[in-house]
Amino acid sequence: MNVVLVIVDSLRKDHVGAYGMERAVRTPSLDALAGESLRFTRAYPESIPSIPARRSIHTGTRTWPFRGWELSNVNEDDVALWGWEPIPEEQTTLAEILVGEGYRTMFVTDTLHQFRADYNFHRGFQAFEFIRGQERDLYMPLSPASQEKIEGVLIGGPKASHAEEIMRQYFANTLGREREEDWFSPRVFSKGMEFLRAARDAGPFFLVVDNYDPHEPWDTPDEYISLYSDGYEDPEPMIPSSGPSDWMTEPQIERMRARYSAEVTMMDRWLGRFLDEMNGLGLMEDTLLVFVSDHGHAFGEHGFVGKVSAAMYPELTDITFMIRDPNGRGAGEASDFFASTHDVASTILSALGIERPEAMGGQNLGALLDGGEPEEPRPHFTSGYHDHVWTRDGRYAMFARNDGSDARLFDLEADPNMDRDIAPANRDVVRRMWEGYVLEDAGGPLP
Amino acid sequence: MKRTGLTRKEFLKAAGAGAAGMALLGGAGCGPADRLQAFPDEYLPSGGSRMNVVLVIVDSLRKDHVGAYGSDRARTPNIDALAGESLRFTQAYPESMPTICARRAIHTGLRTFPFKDWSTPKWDQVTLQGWQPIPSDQTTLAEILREEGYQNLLVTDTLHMFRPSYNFQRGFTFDFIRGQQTDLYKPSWTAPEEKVNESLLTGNPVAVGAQLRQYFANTAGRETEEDWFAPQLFSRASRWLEVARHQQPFFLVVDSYDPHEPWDPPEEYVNLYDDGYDGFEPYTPVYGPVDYLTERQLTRMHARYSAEVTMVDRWLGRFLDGMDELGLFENTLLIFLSDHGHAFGEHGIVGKLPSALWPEITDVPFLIRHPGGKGAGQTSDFYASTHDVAPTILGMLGVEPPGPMDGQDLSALLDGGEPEEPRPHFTSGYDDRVWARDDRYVFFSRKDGTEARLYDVREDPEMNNDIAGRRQDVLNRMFNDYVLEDAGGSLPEY
Repeated sequence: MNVVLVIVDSLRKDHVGAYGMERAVRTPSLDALAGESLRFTRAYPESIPSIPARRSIHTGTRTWPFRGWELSNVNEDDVALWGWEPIPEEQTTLAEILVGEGYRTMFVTDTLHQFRADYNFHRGFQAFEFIRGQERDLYMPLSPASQEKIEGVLIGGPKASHAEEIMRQYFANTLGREREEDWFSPRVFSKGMEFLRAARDAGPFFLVVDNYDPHEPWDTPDEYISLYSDGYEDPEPMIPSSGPSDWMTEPQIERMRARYSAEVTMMDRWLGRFLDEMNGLGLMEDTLLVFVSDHGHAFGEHGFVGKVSAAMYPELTDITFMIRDPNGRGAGEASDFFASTHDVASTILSALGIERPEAMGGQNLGALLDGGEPEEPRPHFTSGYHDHVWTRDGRYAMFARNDGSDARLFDLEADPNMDRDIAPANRDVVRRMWEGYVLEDAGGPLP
Repeated sequence: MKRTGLTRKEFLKAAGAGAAGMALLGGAGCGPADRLQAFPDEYLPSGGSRMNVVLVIVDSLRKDHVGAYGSDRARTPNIDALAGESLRFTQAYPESMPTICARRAIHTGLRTFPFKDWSTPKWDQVTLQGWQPIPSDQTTLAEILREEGYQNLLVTDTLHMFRPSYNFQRGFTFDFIRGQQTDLYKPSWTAPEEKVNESLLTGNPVAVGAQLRQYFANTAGRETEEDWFAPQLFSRASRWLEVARHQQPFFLVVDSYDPHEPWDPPEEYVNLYDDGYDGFEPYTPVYGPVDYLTERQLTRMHARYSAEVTMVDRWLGRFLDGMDELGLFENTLLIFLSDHGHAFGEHGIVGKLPSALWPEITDVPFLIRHPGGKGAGQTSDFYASTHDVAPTILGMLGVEPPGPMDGQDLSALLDGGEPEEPRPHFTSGYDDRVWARDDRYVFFSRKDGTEARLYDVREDPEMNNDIAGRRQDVLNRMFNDYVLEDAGGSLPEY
C-alpha cells in the first residue's frame, strides 16, 4: 500500500464544507474526499503553529511542552516561538523509517522554514522539492518594482511595520507571476502530481505534499476573491497583524476573510486536481490518504485577528483531519476521537504493518476506521502554543498561560463557540484540568 | 610583476582573435581603456562610500587549468581577463579540503583544520573529517556584514550545502540551484537507463551507478545550454545584480559546483578538447588508481573536465559582462577562488584522495580584483588561503570582526606590502591526512606521521621524486614545527 500525506496550513475546520458549519466556503474537492474518508470532528494539533505541529507529524513525537527550546538558539531568521526549531537530531522521522522499509519517499513543500536545510524536514526523503518564496522567505532581493506594490496593502495597525516587512519580501519573491499555475498552491500540488506519476510503477511509495496556502499573505487571482467579496477599493488586507482586531473596520475584516476564503478555494481546486491525478493513475485503490491541517486563523472572532497564543478559541485550534482508506473502511463516517498531528505517524506505520519505534508517541487511529477504538482511550486532550496551554475534555475547554495564570474556561456543551468565560465561578474545574490534564500530559511542571 | 593595463574586454578581444573554437566564447566588445585608473581611493571605506563585494567560489578548479596561470590545458579567457585586472596568487592553497571543509573556512575566516570537534550529522553520506555544518558558535561573514547594513545574497548549486542540518545560508537571502550530482532532487528511479548504462564500465562500483542514476534523473529534459548548472547559476546571479544594485552595498556569493564531476557539458565544449571518441563516456571517475581506465578513456575524461571548465568560464564571463554593464566594477571588490583540484592520472590517481595531496589536488586559483585597480595584473606568492577571504573582505571594508579570525587580511599585498604576519610555511588537511609546505619542501602524511612523502619543490615542482626516505630531518621538522604547531600542539584522533 502507498501513503499520501497532505498537510495544509492554516485551514480552519469551519471553513470546510464537509464539516457543515456556518462559515463554510467552497471546498468541493475536500467535501468529496470527506465522503470517502473517516472525518474527525474534534481534531486538534498537539502544538501550534506550523513548525511545532509539523515536527509532531513527521516524528510521531509530541513537540509540546517544548522542552529543549531555548531563546538563545534563535537567530535573526528564525521565528521566536517555543518549539519552533528543527527536527532534533535524535528523533527519527516517518520518512526515515519508511525508506528503511523499502518505500520510495518524496516530499514537496512551500512551508516556512522547511526549505532551510538545517530544519531537517527533508530527512529520509529520496526526492524533495522546496517551492520557494512564501511569506518572508529570504528568496529574492527586494527590487524597486516590488517596492511599488507595497502601497496597495498598507492598512496600518499596531504591527504595521512587521506586516510591511513581510509584504516587501513577499512581493519581491512573487514578482513576475503571470498565470494561476505560477501561484503557490498550484505549484505545490503540480509537483505532487509529478511525483505521483514518477512513483506509480516504482513500488510502494510515501509522498508528503505540504501546502502553506491558505496561510497569509492572501493574494489569489482576483476571480477567487470575487467569489466572496466585491466592490472593495481600499488598500487590501493581505495579512493580519496578529493581535486584537479592534483597530480594523468591519469591511476590512470581511475583506480579509474573503481573501482567506478565496485562498481556501484555490487550494481546494488544486487539491482536486491532485486527487484527480491519483484517481487517473489508479492509485486510489492501493493508497492510504491522510489529510490534516495544523491550526486555524482568527478573523475578528473573540476580538482577535491572526494566531494569538492568548486566544486559543475554536477558530485557531480546530482543524480538518481525514483518513481515506483505499478499501473504503470508515468512508463517509465521522469520529469524535481527539485525533491529533502526532497520531499521523503511528497510524500510517500501523496501516502498513510496520512496528513503530519505542520513542514514538501518538496513537494508531486505524481501529476507528472499523468502528472500533484506539488502544488507549483519550478522554481529554492538551495542546500548546508558545507560552500558552490549552486542554479539553468531553465537557470543558480551558486555556491559560504556562504558569497557570489568565485561565479561561468554557462549557462546550452549552457554549461551543467559547463565548462565555466561566473560569471565575469554576475554579475547581480549572484546577482539575490544570493538574489532571496539563501537568499530567506534560509529565511534570512546564518549562 | 607585469601590469597588463588591459581591461577584461580588451583582453578577451585580443585573446579571441583568430583562435580556433573561440567563437564559442564570445564576449568581444569595447570597454574604456583607462577604467582601472579612473577609480582610485575614493571607494575605500575611508572615502565614505562602501564597496560592494562579490565572492565567486568555483569548485574543483585546478590552478593549472586556468590560462592566466600559464597553462593551455583549458580555455579560460574570462578568468584570464579577470586575472589581468586582479592580484593573482600563485601559491594559494585551501586551508582544508574538500568542498564543505573549505567553505566553512571561507564563510567564517576560521580554520577548519585540524578538524577539532568533528561530528557528522548522522544522516550525512559524506564522512570526512571536518565535513559538517558551520558550528553554531562561529559567526559568518554574512552575519557580520548584515550588521553593517549589507544586503547579502547567496546562490549556489553546491548540493552539500543543502543537505539536512547544513546552514551555509546563515545571514543570506539565498537560492539553491537544484540537481547537481547526488542531490535528491528528482526521483532517481526515473533516470533514463540507457544513459546510465552507456556511462558505466565493467567493475564500476555500485556507488558510481547510483550517482549517475541520480544525476541523469535530475538533468533529464534539459534542452538549451541555459539549462545546465553553471549557466543557471551565473544567470541567476546576473539577474540578482540587476535588482541588488538598487540597494547597495551588497555582498553576493556565487558558489559554482561545476567543474566538479559529473562532467557533461554540451558537446561543443567537449569537442574543443577531444573528438573522434566512440565508447563509454567517463562522466565521473572512480576515485583511486587510474589503471581501471584505458589511456584513451582517461584522455576523454580529462577532456570532459576541461570542457566543463570552459563552460564555467564562459558563463562567469557573461556574469562579469553584466557587472560591467551595470557599472558595478567601479565600486565592487571581487574575489575569485577555488576549493581544491582534481587528479587525472598524474601520480597514478584519478579523483581527489586524501592520500594523494599532489599539486593537481592542492593548487587553486585565487584572484582579488580591487575596484580602484590596486594590484591589477600583479602576482603574489604569499600562501593565500580560503580562511583569508573573510578577514580580507572585512579589512578592505574597514569592518572589525566581532571575534578574532584565524585568517589574514591580504589587502596589504594589493599595495605591494605584506600582511601583518609573515607566513613562511603553510599547512592544510584532508580527512586523515596532513600537508605542509615552505619555500623549499612539500610534505604530506597520515595524521600519525606515517606514509610520509617529501618533495623538493624547487627542483621538482610537480612532485615526482619522493625524498622522504632520505630526509628524515626535514620530515620531522615539517611535521612537528609546521603541522603540530599550526594544529595547536596535537591532532585530534577519530
